[in-house]
Amino acid sequence: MKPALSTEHLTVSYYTPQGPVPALRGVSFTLFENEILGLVGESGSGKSTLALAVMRLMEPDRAEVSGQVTVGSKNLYDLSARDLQRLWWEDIAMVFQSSMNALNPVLSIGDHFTDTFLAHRPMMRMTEIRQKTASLLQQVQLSPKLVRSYPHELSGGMKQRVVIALSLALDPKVLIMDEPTTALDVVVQHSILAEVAAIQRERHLAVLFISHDFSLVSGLAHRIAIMYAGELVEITERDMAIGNSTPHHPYTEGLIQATPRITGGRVRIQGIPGEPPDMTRLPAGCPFWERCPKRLDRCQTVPLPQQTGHTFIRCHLTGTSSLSSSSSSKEGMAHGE
Amino acid sequence: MQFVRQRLAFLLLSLWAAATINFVLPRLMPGNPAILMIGRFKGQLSARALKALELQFGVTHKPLWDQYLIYLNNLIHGRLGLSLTYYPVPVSRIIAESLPWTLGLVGVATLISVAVGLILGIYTAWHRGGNWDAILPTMATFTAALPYFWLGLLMLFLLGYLWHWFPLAHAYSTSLTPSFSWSFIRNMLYHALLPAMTIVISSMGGWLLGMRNNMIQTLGEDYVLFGRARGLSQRRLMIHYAARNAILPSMTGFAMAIGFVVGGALLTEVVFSYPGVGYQLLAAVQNEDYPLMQGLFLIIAFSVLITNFLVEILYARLDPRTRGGVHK
Amino acid sequence: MSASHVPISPRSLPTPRRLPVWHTIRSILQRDKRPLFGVAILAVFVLMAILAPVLTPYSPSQTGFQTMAAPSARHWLGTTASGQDVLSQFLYGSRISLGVGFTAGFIATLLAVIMGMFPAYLGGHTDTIMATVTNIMLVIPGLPLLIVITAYVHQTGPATIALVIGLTGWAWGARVLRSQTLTLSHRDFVVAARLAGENRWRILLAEILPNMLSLVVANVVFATIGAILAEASLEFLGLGNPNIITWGTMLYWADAGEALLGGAWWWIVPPGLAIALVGLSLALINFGIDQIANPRLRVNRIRKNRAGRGSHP
Repeated sequence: MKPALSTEHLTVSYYTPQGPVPALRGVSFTLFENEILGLVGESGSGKSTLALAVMRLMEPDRAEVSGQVTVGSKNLYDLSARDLQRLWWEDIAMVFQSSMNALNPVLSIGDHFTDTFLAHRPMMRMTEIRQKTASLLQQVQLSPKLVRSYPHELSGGMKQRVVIALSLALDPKVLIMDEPTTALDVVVQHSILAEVAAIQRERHLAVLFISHDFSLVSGLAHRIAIMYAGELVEITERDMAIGNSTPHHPYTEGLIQATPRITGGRVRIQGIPGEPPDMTRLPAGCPFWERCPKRLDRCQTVPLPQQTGHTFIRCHLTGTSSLSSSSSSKEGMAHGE
Repeated sequence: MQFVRQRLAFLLLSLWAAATINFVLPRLMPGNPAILMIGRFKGQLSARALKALELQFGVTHKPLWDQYLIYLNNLIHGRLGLSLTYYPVPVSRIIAESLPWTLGLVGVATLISVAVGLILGIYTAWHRGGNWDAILPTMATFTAALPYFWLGLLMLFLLGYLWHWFPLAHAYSTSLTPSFSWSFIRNMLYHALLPAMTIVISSMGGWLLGMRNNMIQTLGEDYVLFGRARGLSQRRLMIHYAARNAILPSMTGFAMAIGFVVGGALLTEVVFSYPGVGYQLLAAVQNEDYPLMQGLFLIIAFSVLITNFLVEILYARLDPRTRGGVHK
Repeated sequence: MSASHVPISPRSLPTPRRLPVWHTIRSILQRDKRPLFGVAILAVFVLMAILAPVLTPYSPSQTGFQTMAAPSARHWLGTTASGQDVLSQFLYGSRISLGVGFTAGFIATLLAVIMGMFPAYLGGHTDTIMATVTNIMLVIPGLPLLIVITAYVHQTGPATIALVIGLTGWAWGARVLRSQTLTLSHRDFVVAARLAGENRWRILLAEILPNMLSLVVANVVFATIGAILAEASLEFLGLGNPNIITWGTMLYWADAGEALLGGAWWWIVPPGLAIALVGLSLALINFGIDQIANPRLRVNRIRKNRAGRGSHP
């Protein structure tokens, strides 16, 4: 499988009056074509920062970004402003959490699409724009008549679908979805996720699906990446996550155990005690060491080993080299360090 | 439509409130001031005029409610009474003669300062931290704090008296008679320039600062970021995503802004002896010509209220959220 | 993800974290010097007003000097058309101008709090009625109203003017405070307190008011600027008491005394410039208060290539 998007040592620190505060610390992973990679983390783990950094949407005076992001064969942070503008939406697109106000209140839905098309294909004719808009809306189960409506007239679920449709407008190969269903009710959530899965299959998209909801992601994604305190601590295959025979990073285990299941016997659900660490006072070692029930002495002081690979666990106890499931095929992922 | 109806109702309510305030004020003051005024003018008025005056200002034994109804009735028929300074010229005539001057001067000057202020506000916010942004907001704050009339005095002094660039007073040279000839119009514009510049300089700052603040707020919104990610041009983002949303709060503050402009215009007219309603109002106050004063106050208040209403209608057209109606 | 078994009581719900105000003020001032300038300028004027007797040997109404004299060593700001020392008038007049301005500003803000905060908090019909009254007071043009009122009141002096300005200038503040009170009333920590049965008035004073303090202070500043301008305007028009020397009446006399035609710039410039500078200083201070209330407006001058620790090459 070819890599569609990859990062290498991606590090982001926000400028604050008290000095730079890290949000991402040396994150490296690869998203392959035609797969859904879920990214799970709690609030403050850095996942939204990751989305913005991967798109190079961070404002330069707000945060310092270092490391590499590669989309296809292009190095994102080396691109000129013009090339970046072209890359956005044509190669890689992002679905914002639309209840966060992603749509311009004074423009109609149709205007949003027209804007997007004309920005990239200034010569496009209105008839073609209208056709494409209608077909995109249909793909997300919305009536084409909505082009005349305004954002405030739509429900949360409809707005989210519009945002998804907008992201597909120029046929990008990579899609980043940042908490796309978080503020919606469960029923709408479910149908949107089903649509996302269907769209991904049809278009062979590479999707990075970010959420704080572990159970949600484990139902959708092929691989699941786990973030904690700005670090990527594990990537695991979906099947390995559901069964509990395979070893995991202790944080992942905590997440799995905290997830209620409909089937199976009655299990005591356990939470993960403690709180996420203060990002200005991180230990040199594993950021999870304070809350980890299996910690060793060196977990506090020895930094976690850098890992690459299709799946891996970065933990002093359970993982030293990449653990890959025997059934997955891997091609061309050897990144140098 | 719901919105328009609501605003129309408010307009009517505030028109009524202005008229009522006008009615109530002289009667509120300890020792009705009208008594003194009537005493002064007694000798010059006809008996009928005297009676009307007494009724208008409450120097009568008629019950308050009756006075009020008569007052409102007169108002609706446009009967504002007779001016005492220009007796027996009706107040409405004086208003009709001075209002156009004020509308022309204030109207044009306000349009200019709004346009320039808004545009500059948009630019400084967009290029935040740039060179203009370092100077303009502080400068705008300074000019906004300048007393209108003082600025007028200064400009009159410098540009009129000292350097003789502009005439010192009035709307047109006293030697000319008003006509639609080009030479008259040119002369009129020449006279209007200085007062107009005073108004523009004083009021532009407020628009600039307001718009800038709104823009900064709007630029942090997600739809701007989303638009940027979709590859939209800077121009499209700045105007259609940022400015069109940022202007909305400015418009809701328009009523108060207009109030300030009117106040400032009043003072400007006085400084430049420009024969508009402001100038007449002061003359009326100095002569204790209460009927004229009341009439002028009403027309000023009404103009502001109606202008505000029109701006609110404009707002309804610009913000789709006011239009109601839900599609499913 | 986590399951804590601590029963939730309103008192343990986090109220919006408030950094100690001093800390916030200091960090804002570190990045934006404008409020400091404002405070400095204002301090100069206040000092001048207080120290007036020390700064000038003459009394403001003392006549007998040469008329319309340009500034000289004996009369730093020259003299008026009736032979009075302009500097003395300026300094003593500043006391009244500033006094009236701040008094009217306080009155207007007090009224704004009463008319804006309480009805909004109580809700219901009270709120609707008061809001409508506020909106009407907002649209009725201020200066014409002031002119008409002072015209009716024959004996006007600084005290009356302060009162009248305060009584008519509360509407804008009331509107702002009302909308902020409404927003806060619906925030979780207030709803929680109410559900727990806390006394309504206690909630208002202990929960809502502290969050609105910076807004109220900004209101005082804004109202004071308006009041100083309004006072000067009224006095310039001759509606004040011309016998009491203030910056406004100075300008009135200057206009009446044909200062313009006589070229007496020293009479015209100082009072107006002072008003403008005081207004500017208050506005600069307001920049700072705005930034306390609304963190988004905070100035962020951090440069791009700032070397930080923990960043990889």
